[in-house]
Amino acid sequence: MNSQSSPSLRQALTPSDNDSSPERKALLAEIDASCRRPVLFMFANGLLWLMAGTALALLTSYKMHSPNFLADWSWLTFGRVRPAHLNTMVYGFASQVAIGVAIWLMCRLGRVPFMQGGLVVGATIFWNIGVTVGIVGILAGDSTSIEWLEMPGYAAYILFIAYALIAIWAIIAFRFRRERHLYVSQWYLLAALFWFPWLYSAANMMLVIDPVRGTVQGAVNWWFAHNVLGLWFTPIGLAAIYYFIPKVIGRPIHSYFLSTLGFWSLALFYNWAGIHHLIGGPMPAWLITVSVVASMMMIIPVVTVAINHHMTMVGHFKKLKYSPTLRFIVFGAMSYTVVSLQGSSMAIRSLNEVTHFTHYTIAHAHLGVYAFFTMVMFGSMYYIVPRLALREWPSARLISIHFWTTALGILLYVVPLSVGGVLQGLAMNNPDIPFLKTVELTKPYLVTRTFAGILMTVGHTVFAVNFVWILARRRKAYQPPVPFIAAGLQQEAGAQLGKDI
Amino acid sequence: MNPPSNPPPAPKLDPHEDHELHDVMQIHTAILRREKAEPQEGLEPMPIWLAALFGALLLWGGYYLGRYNGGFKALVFDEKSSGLPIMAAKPPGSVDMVVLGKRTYTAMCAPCHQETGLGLPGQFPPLAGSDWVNTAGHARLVRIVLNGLTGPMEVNGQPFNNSMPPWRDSITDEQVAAVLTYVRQSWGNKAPGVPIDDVKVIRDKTKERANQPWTADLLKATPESE
Repeated sequence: MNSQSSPSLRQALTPSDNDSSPERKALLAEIDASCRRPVLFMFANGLLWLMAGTALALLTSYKMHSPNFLADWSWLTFGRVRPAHLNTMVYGFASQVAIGVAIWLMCRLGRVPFMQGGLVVGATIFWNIGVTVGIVGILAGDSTSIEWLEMPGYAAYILFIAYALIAIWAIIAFRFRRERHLYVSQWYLLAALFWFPWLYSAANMMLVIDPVRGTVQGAVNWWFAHNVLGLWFTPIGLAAIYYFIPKVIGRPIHSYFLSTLGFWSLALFYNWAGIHHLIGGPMPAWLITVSVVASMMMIIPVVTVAINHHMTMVGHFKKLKYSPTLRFIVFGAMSYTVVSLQGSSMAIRSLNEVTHFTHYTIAHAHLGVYAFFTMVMFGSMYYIVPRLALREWPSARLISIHFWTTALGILLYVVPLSVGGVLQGLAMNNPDIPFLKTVELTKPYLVTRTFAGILMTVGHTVFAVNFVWILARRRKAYQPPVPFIAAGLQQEAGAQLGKDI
Repeated sequence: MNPPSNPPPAPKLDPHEDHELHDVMQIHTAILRREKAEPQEGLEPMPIWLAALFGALLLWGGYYLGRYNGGFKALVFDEKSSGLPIMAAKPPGSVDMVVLGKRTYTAMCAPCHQETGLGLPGQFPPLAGSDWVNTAGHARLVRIVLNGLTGPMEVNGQPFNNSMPPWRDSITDEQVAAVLTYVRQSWGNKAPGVPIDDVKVIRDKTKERANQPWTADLLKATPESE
């Protein structure tokens, strides 16, 4: 801590109940109990969609290099399976788990139990009906063919209403918080809870319900699709990282000033960035130039947040060995830095000319949604679920397998596919190379991706097994927590065991 | 962090789970006890090199926006353009009559009179080198396009007996003027163009004919310039 800082600011930043008093622990227990039903229900449904989305992903990936596979049935053609995969993951898995994590964080940070858990379970059922209707609609051929909004209009209404019914309670939890001190995670959560309905309703109004004309659709589409990542998943992911790193290692976040700068520069710049997807398209040049500049300005929040997280972690990296939460979260935080800086570079016109319309973009999207966001959500669930289920994770080995298969899987996915994407882009820009050659050139990278997908499928299956196991496990007399190392290493880890899970 | 010296009291739990209360309490207590304090924020200042980096970024952003903004014009798609040529371009609405005329001719006239303007001998009269087309006045031609022409006639000494439909309700004054300008200035024809206003006047003057076609005799009775 910096001794020159004004005492009043320091005071304002310190939670009023930041001690280990029994009263405070009892309050935390009460909060966890109040979140139990809605949050566990969201996690369980999210994991179901994760498994469905993983199956669709494998199918999509396989079809990329073996297009004849299951191509005879219109429901399983590439043009339907791919958007079904995307929407399953975005709305079924990622958004649902994100809302669950957001609710728990809101209650924890506001020191207030969740109100209306039962009502939110009902709204969550409604949300899942919406996702089901949307996915079946896409597979049945009713896709809108609008990127990230493929779900037919009738599903969009259900999703929006369900979202409103859920999010309102997270916002109410914020409104009636007992802790007046606002922690940085709360800024991000509150902003994201308002940003998402704004994006989703505006994009649906302008693209599906009453479509605007011509190329304006492209601008609205990429404004939406890019912002779902930057103003919905990113803030919730960052809120979780900001919460769990200091929580697990027991040390304050490095700098309040960097937190402030990181949040406000994200809020200021991200919204402009999406139009860089239309470089070279029939868009007014100034619109694209503004978005290129905004994309480069995103370096400010990204570097700020990276420094803030890294300086908090410094000296505590050995804790990655014991805490599954920390391991997933730090992997996600590092991926956030990489994917964001990569994203800024992809907005530069001369680089975009190569990487646009290639697999490089796909690799980038997965680096963002998976290596950053999904890994952070996995880490958060490892922390939250035992507190809600009132049991310890049953198997450390499964956690370990989950981490290594997904971490290595996403690296095996992103790195080769990025290389393949650049080669593909260079080949496509060379008029002497026939188009079919540029397609054949990508094949080894596409096959590698399928293998990466199999690795990640193993990881997801293992996680789902562990999740069902922790919920179904009979409660017995207290058992010590399972530490996050293979059983053989337990002796070595000694006294550290379990303390930092 | 050291565990608290006093074990926490029983957490308040769902009434449905009373029978499990003891075990649950034990487990949850253990989980909560090893939990660290809720996070808070330190007050380390921002490093100066970071401020310098951000300053440089903002400087670059200003330069790039100033250099590649296309004059902030909606119709400038090339970021390297200043946008000025677009402003100097002719106002919308002024179209090239020959281009519009050729397009109209291809769609409406070419099926009979042919792309070459030569017509088909014995069936459709030629327009190229035609003594009806290469005239000083254009009043008869406008009438033919508006109302069509039926019955026997002679073109360049060759007899024809066929029917041309009226186009009055199908094409605008601008298109009539354009297609006649095109016809009178293509395939070696060298007659003056037809102004839109003249078409308008003749359209009004012949309103009562509605869609009834002309005959060659009636047209011969009309002066070339009215």
